[in-house]
Amino acid sequence: MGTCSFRVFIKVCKKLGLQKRKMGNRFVWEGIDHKGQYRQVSIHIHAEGRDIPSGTFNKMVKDLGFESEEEFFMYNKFNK
Amino acid sequence: MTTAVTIAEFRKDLRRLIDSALTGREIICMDAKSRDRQTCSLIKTNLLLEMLQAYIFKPKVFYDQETKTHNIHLDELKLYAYADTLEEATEQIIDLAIDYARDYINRLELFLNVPDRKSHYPYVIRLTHCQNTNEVKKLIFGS
Repeated sequence: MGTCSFRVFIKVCKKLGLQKRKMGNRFVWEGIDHKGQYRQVSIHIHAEGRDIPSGTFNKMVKDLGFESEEEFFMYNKFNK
Repeated sequence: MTTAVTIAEFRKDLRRLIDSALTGREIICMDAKSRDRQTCSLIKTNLLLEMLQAYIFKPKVFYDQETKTHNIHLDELKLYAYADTLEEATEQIIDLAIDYARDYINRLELFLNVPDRKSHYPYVIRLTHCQNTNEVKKLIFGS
């Protein structure tokens, strides 16, 4: 497990086709993935731009529908 | 054992049915004309909240050495906060929970049809009954 830069995380959210919405004190990345499943990840406005800590990143990766962090990074690498 | 009434009966006898619900009886109202025969229940609010006490938040709080951040995971709602101090992380998770509950209620039709979000419903209802952020904090952290 490791941290993830905010930039990479957002890049993958965009590649997945998720949309960014501001709702109160959070930014919500949400949408329907290629399996037809609704996905949502919330990031507090004060946490935006910060690297995502290891354990928290691991949870967010699962919420995006990936089995593991490796799968997340592979997806980013092979989907331009 | 339950009292089932049609909408017409419910309308006609509202006062008595509310009194009955306040004693603890569940009043089931059905729409005889609807195709899928859905029903809804009238139940005393305090009893509902007591039943919902089974849905307890179990926040996971930890410190991440690498990023030097305090992290709080609220797995019951898939919400995560991370900040320089524990106080900030606590404030963030409370904000996230309040905003999420509001969004969930506004878009119930969506969230109740997403399998891994439907289970958030009882937790969201508990949050919506909080009057202020202190109550939310107490609900999530238990003190």
